[in-house]
Amino acid sequence: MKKKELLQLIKTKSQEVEIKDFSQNIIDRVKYLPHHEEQVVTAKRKFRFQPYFIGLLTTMAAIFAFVIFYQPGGEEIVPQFEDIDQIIAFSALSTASLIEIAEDNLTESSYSILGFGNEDNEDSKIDTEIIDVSRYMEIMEKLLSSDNDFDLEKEELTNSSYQMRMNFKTKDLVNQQVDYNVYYNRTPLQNQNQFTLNGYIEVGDNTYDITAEGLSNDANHLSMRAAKDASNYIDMQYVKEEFGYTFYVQITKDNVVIEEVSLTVGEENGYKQVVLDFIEGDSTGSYTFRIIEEDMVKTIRIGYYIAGTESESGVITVRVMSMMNAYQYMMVIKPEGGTAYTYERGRDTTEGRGPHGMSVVSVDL
Amino acid sequence: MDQIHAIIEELRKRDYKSFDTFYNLTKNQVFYAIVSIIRDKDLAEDLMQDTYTKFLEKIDQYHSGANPYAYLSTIARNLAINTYNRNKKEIISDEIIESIPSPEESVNDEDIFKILDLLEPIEKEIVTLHVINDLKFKDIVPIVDKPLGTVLWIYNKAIKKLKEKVGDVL
Repeated sequence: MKKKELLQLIKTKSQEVEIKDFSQNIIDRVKYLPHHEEQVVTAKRKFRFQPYFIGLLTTMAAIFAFVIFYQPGGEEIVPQFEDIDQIIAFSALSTASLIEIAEDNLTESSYSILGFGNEDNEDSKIDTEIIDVSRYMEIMEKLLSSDNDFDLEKEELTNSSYQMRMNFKTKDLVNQQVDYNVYYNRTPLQNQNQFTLNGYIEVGDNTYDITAEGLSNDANHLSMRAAKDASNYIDMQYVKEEFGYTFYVQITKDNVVIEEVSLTVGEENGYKQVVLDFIEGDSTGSYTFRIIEEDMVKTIRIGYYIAGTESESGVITVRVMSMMNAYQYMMVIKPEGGTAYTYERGRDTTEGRGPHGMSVVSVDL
Repeated sequence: MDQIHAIIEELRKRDYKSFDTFYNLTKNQVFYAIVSIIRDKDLAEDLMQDTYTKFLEKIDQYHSGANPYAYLSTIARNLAINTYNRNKKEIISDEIIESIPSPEESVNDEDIFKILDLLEPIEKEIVTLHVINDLKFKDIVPIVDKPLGTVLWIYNKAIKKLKEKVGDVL
């Protein structure tokens, strides 16, 4: 049974149980309760999701860098990363992806609806989710395209303020290669399971400071926290499972959780795939990314399922198009039982973006 | 959610005219928060009434803007755990097993209970709170008093277990 079917079954079965109406009994009981003085309460703070992300990005990069490189004592943790290339790929692509998420305005300006066929899909949930989902396109593209060709190198540095340098490479859908370098120091704390990590990650023209501290407990279940300060930090739970790897990522800003996703890297029916689940935040749904080859062209195929009173599923097919010396994503969305329609967005990658990822490449058709 | 918050503000002023609406909007969450710990449906219904009574009694402690489902689930869970522990103690000390419904008695034969019974207690609770009660994981964390990563880990393990075994009980 598939996960979405199971969840739907649980929901349906739970609604079959008759729950009696005790509302009048309860009112009768409380009418005789003593009155309490009213207490002054304050509304929960709300916040928006934008400028501080650049700062948080640095700590997020640290977390992923940690996953790549952290080997406490050498022997205990290393076996959990049997397929370390997958972890490396995931880490690199995740870092890039988070820049996309950080730049909220980026998607506003690089999006347009081509507008044929989507008049029949006005109530389509995927319409409101596609912008957020597409922010993860870069990570998926690189992870799924790079396969096992990451060419990881580790080097101990002698004439540097950093102890270690790591280099690894990714490829994307149009076969472009990107180099990533991470320079870092790792210092164990008194408790040998705890450590601090300091350094920076270098991607194209961009560098991001990394600071992290972490705690590892067992080989297949690694918990970490990277903190910018006591109120701003990122927690990550890495789990090696039978079917692959899952990373649970939670970003906390001013002591409030603002974003939470899980990314599960695995294989099904001979296809390597990554499942993106939005757990917390403005977005929702479960998205399974695969790369398939059609007519000698690589495309990303995304199966999606969005739960709710009226759940929705469908398929998104994504191709990278070359227009006027720039690339963009062309997405064909086909909700189940609905009509196919198209979105496009600029495809500007982390390494091609200027410092802090502020520039936008956008091509209008 | 706006509707429920508006009703809570009325309830805060001891205006109960919309309480039946509030009850209907929240009864599933309260019921399942209880039955994930105590299987006895009759006892659960008693505890439901206690939960709402306690909520109304202490409504001034409810912070505007908080998640009412999580808040009610917390009250319901605490009452259920207290009752569960009290019943266990009484059974041991008084040896009057027949007269006190234990958590495993009065077994309900609805399918949902057959499904949930495939899980360990903590798995059952987290699946119930997330899938049936629609609580977000971050709201479940303070209820079960476990770190987010652990909650997610338990949840995923439970879902995996159910995927394999649910066909055996339905």
